[in-house]
Amino acid sequence: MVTHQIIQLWMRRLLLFVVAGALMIGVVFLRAGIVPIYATGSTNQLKPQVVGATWSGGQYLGQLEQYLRDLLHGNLVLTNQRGATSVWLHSGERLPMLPQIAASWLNSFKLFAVAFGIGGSLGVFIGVAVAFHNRLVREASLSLSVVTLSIPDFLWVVLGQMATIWAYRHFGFSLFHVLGDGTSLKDFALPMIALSLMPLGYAIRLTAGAMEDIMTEDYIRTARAKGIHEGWVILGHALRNAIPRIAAGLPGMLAVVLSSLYVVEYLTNYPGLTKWLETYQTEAMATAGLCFVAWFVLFDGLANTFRLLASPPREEGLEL
Amino acid sequence: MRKRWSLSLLLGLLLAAVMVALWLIPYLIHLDPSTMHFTFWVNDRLTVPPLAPGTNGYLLGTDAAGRDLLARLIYGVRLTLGVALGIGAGRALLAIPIGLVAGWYGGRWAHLTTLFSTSLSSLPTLLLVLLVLNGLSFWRVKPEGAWLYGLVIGLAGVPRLAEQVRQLTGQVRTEPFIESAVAAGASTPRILFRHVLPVIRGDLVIAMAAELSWVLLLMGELAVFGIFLYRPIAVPREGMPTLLVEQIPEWGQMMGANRTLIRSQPWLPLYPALLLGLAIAGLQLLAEGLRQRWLHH
Repeated sequence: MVTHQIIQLWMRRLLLFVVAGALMIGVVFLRAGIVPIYATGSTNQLKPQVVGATWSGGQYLGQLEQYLRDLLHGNLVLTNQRGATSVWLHSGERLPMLPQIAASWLNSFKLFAVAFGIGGSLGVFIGVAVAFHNRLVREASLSLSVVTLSIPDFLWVVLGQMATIWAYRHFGFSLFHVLGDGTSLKDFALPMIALSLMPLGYAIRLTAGAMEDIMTEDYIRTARAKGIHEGWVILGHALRNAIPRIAAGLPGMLAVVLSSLYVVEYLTNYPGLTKWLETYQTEAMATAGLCFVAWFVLFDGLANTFRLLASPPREEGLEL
Repeated sequence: MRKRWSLSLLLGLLLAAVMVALWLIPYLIHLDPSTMHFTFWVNDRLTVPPLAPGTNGYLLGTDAAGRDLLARLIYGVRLTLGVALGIGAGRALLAIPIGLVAGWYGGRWAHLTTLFSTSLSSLPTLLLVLLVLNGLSFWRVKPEGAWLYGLVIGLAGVPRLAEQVRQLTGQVRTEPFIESAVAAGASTPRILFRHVLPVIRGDLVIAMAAELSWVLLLMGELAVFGIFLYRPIAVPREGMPTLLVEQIPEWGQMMGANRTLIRSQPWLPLYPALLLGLAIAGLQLLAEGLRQRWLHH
């Protein structure tokens, strides 16, 4: 039953990837159809004056076809056409695109994995602490969850940048780099902290909600009546049964973190996949977009598989 | 049972009151958000903008075109929240009827709504909207292209809201008073708009508050990537390089157009980001507080 549902889930994710990927490439390449109109009798022949633009369906389809052919054959290259923002190329120089994008993806994944791991596990830890019936801990944990979920990612980054500017101006040291190239720990710190706040809040809310419900169950009362230590009741009995509910929130949590990743990377100048979304080379933008879609669909599928395994649905009709 | 005034609701209402107050200020005090000044006398020295907060009587300083930042931020509430309200209303106008019909008829309509919603939620909205708006850049730069901006952001949230309405309608559909209305011969539109809609309106208010915050968040995130309602305008200055400044005092645009100045003039992106963040937080807290107050009792 579960195996059948997992197969169905992955078939849908595959279909989603094909449809979303095709649509995404089609939309991104719309700008490849723009044909500039130059001023007649321009004096500067090297840089003629652009007076307008028109859109050509033929050019669009031609560029799209060429891109798909290059993608399938692995022939995509970076050129210095108006500058491919992230790598500096000399005039006429061509660099294979896919290894560059793969390296950027690895950087993005490193940031994502560390932020998601730290934020998520800290959130689960704080959420479990709520079950200890300490009012102060409960209020503080839930307030932290509300604050981290309500304040948008770009504001966290800007506030972090302001904090380090302030610290540098007043005390002569920087907490982390305002804009960095991701090579040092100080470059990595701000994007990592900003990105880990969302899963932190999400995990606190999920875990605390699940633990509060479970702590009122009969088997918890029975365990307490048997004289089992409160710590073991919470960790051994309640947390074990809360895991399926926490797993149910995993796809949503992944979606939120991956969405925030673009903003955080862009604002902190982190050398991840996002930098390719702002390049002038349409091919690089489409390939980076395709990578993002694949990454998102794959992780969403994995999170949903984990959710199904942790808590197999008992009824028909659960939407995958 | 006595209903709870949660911290979320109180904070949400407080932030909403601040936004309403900002909206009303221009009716009470004359403010000038658009006059540009390319030079200032500061301590007997000719200075070019931007001025730092507190200089020459500008409480929050000026932007790079010498416009009063405080006045622009105060006027910005109308544009920012106005645009978000417009997009949110557009979403609701499309999503509510779709959700009502899908929830009422069920079957393939319900399946289609759920399929669209789950498919879109499996992909990051920001990425989709960003790439679509980038792809449509040729049409977006035209004056009428502002509609494209609203349309793409609006449509991106329709499936999710429609799915919420579908689920709510599905829950209400089997209630005895609905069965009575059906037995009394009421038409489907009458049942949906006169019987179902009033029952789910509390949930819809909460959903709309959350939707507005999502719209604002998306507008802010897009602004980070330089995508906003109107493109920046070039301001020619005599004897100095041409300036690229934001056109209208909309918070997202003010933050996005000035984000590269974070190291040299940090107040320029900070204040709009702060206000946009507070508006988003206020709406999120309001939605959460109302959910706790209305739905948990």
